[in-house]
Amino acid sequence: MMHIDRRHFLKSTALAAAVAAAQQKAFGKYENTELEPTLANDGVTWDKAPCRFCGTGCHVRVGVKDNKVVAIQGEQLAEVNKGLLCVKGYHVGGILYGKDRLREPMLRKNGQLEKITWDEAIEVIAKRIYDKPEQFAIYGSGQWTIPEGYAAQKFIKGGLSNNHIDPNARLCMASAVTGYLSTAGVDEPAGCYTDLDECDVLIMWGNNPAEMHPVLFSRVIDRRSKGQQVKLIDIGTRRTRTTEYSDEYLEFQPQSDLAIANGIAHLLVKNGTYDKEFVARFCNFRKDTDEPSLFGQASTFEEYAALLEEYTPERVEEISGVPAQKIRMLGDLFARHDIRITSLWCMGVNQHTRGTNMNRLLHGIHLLSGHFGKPGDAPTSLTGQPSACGTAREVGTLAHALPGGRIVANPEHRADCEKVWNLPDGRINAKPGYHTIKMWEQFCTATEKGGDINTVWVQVTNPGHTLPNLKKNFTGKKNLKDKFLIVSEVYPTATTELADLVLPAAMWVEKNGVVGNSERRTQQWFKMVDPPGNARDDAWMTIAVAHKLFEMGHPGMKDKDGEFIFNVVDASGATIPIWEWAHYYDVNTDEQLFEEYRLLSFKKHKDLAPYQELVKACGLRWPVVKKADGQWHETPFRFMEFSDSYVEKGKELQFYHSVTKDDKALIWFAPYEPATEAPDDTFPTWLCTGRVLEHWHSGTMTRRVPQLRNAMPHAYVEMNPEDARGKGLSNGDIAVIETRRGKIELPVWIDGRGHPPSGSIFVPFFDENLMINNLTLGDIDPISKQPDYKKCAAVVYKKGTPSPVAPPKG
Amino acid sequence: MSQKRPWHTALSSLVVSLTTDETLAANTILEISANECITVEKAANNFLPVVIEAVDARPIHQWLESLPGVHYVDVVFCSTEIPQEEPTSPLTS
Amino acid sequence: MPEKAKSIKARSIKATTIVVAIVFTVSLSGFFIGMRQTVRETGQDVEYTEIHPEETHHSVQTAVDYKDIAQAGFGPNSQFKSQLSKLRRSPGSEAYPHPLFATETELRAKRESRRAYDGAPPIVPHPIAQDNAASCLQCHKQATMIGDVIAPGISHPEYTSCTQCHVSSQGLGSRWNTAKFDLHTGNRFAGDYEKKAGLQAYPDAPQTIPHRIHMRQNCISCHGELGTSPIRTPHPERQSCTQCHVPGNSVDQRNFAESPFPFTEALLPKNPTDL
Repeated sequence: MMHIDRRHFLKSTALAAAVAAAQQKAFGKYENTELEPTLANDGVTWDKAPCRFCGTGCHVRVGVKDNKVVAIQGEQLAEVNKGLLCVKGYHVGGILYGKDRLREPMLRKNGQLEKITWDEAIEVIAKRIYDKPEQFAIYGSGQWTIPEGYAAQKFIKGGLSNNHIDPNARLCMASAVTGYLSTAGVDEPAGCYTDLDECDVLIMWGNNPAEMHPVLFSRVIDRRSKGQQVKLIDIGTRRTRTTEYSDEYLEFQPQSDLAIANGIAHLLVKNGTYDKEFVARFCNFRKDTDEPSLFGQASTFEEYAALLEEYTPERVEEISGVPAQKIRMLGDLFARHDIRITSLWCMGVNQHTRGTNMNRLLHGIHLLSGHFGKPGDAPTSLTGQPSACGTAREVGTLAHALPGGRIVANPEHRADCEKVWNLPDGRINAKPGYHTIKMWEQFCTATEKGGDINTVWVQVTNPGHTLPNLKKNFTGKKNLKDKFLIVSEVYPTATTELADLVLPAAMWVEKNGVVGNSERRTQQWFKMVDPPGNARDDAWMTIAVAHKLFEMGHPGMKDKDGEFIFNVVDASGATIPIWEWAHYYDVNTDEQLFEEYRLLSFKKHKDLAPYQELVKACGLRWPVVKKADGQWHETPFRFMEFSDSYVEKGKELQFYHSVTKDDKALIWFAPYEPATEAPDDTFPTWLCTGRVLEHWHSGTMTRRVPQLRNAMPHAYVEMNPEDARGKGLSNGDIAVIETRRGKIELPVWIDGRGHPPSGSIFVPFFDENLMINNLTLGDIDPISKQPDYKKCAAVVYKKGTPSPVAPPKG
Repeated sequence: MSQKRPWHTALSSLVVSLTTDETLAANTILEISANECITVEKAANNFLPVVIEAVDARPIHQWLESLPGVHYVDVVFCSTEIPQEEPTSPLTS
Repeated sequence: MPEKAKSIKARSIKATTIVVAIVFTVSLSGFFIGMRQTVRETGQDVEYTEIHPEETHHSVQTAVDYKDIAQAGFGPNSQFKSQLSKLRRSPGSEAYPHPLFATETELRAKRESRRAYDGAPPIVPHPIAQDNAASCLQCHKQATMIGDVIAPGISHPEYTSCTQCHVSSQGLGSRWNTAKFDLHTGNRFAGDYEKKAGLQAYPDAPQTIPHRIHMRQNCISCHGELGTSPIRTPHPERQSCTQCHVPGNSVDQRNFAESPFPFTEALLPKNPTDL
């Protein structure tokens, strides 16, 4: 019989507590603690995942029952959203269950899509590639998971020595990338979402975060209900929901945001209120070369000041329409050192024919005024897609890039990848491939006319809806018989309309995944439910095709030792045939791919955490470093000594990948240049396009969720009430909008959600039955190659009245 | 721990953070286990849970901190007794 | 002399009689005339129209032609009825149930129709201002009853941007036929719906909360007098609900892997009789 007396009890308790404490110190839990999957008595299991939608990267808990998603809850332990979601996030479970979900591979025969087997499908693709590997291209996505993008990247660049891989992120983030590169020498923000908690002033440049990044926006505005003072300044081309929460609204003429930024810089220089010490210690000046280039040429402060001379507040008012007094207000704000200013921007600045310049200018005014390097002082470009950062930018699935911030043109970078991929020297092609617009142009041009892309494999995106100027960039493919379009998709879309081969794909929690959000946070999730029918993972598709080519003897599919480039072995060294679907989940292929990719992430100090650490956490912000205490620590703020362990002691702020190799950032001058297609007599109205809260991009997922579809059933055109009256239009009437590229009929919505000023209209692009991209321009930024969706010239008239545009003569 | 306080720490459980040098750490663990008043549990990485039972655990705690293989000592739990004239301390059972 | 007096008295009596007769006739006929139904009421038997169809306000009230104004009911006495049977029926009758007396099935059905799953933010069933959320809390800060429509109270702490999560099913309000632009695909998502009752240690013990509590910090919004749940608290005067009613859903269980202090259960001997 055992006696438990007090002493014994105390000792046992004490010992158990010490053991538990030691365990916790050793194996660490993060502040955002892992959630153990719990099995409930109601049969619902809960596990974590990042939301499928925007670049905010909210974390959700997914409730699964009987192999189906049945509920969603915001993850309270996640730092990003702390339990809050937006309407899309709350309904993200429903996107898996649209009734017309694709379940079988289909090949187009005699104009109709017919069911075929996976083996047949893989063979079709492999044959096509084997035939002309240099005319093959992959159009990928910022919604690709990191392993998916990495598999495609390794396959085409490391396997086929072909650099024609570009993501849809070219259409959304390319200018942000070139902006960061030309300022700091390395991509991605220095700050993180903590800046939103710390800033005193938030300036939004041409974006509408109340609808597009609602959880981040709430993070700022809910501070007011806690008694904090935060000033919101909305600099936009039309009033939106964001404006209603803002203290100041500065309405500017499209394109003139360049002038406003220069106006602020001008005042800082003129009044001598720029941060002299900061500039002297941490900045160099730069201007562009005659031909626009990424790194331009050296400049001096004197030259910079001289170039800014003309941007007086009065001149800026003339160009932009923003009152000079407001420009001075901004100049005074930036001159202050006692407040912290965060600038936030998204598509208004990036989808811009001078997007790279605008990004440079925004970084420039923050650097010039010293509003950089402290939490709350940050110029931050927000991403739209859940993994534009994680996959497109970091894995480098761009035509000129390699993983980890490398480029194909650099022999050292190629050698790094060839080493990790165990490839023979010279396997990777040094010539950059085609960027998105060029890729599609070449695909939609007949072979005999020089269209040297004959096969495109589209994964996880919908170019038939989202490319600008669709007539030029997509629909022309229809008549080109020798062109072959492969589409990995989940639902029938505008792209599958012209597809020759449709492959049903697994979506979100139907597969393992890792993605990276706007604040450099890499987040992981495990598969929770099975995909429907014969739908399979995109990464598997890529690996299966690669293996088919390997069987066919394509030399590119072998590494230096003759092994398959996606060879995965078990503990005993035996190969696991992951190219066979039945064995794909024998091992966590995601983890295999991710751990290999991780080796390439250190060069530019974008260190990724090991996969198993990501499993435990609600995401970790890179660089994730192991410190003396044996724990993995994320880095909230880069280049800043207090947070970034790569900064040398005493340097305080160090741009360790500086373009000028002296640890300094670059402040650029860029002039105001007018838009490429401004309104004129025939087309007197500015046409702007964009998104809405309820729908994700092309709406293929969200429009199949009844709650979201009913809330926002179809597209419309927002018009100024005066303009509408002048054209005899009122709410609900049908208007015809015409540009040089096409026309469309849309119902008018006046004083609805957005309020465009006179002379401009806004149309959302989510509606596949009312595709505004048939009308958009798509001129590109010369450096980033990103198209402009926000500005072109249009004319609006009432349906039934004759078009004011004279038909072309002859 | 510098002042003399009017109570004894009769029972104290600690987590000892050991050096990352494996040989030194192993030797240190042996040394610590050899002490009669200390009960040692299995280490997690380089963190060692120990319990000290003595009339007063504090001198032993100081001894632990002085060992070359020990980086740091964290206190998890301690039980204190006020010394009485009669030896009716519940520790004597 | 008596003749003269007699004739005056006789004349005054006659005059009075005539006057009284006239007054009597006038009032009697007025009475009967007044009882007659007016043309307005009988001409077109104006049916009582539902002012509050199931989900409100599909269209703006249209302006009428001048000749129809009299019948259109704009005037101050437009609701006047002179017959009891024409009076608007008061809530509580079969055809017009009072919202507070809706049945459990009705309430649950209403709740489920507005939510994709238990815990989803409810869809707003009425049109809203699309560009700002300033007016939401006017009605929803606390449960409000306006006429016979109940505006439920907010169940979670106030966030600034209501429309970030709560979207309206009466959105664009345009007259465009949306059916033409629907994707017509349907969706198989079947949300998890709430449990009917929580566990009780013994009869009359406070029930545990069977549903998830995230975003439902204000219990009264569903379980109070004007709540949307069929379960109404019998003791609304008590303010600290979670003092007795603890979370019982698996998601709300504290994750004890986080705690450095293990259960003392682990220290007890396996067989209690060993003690």
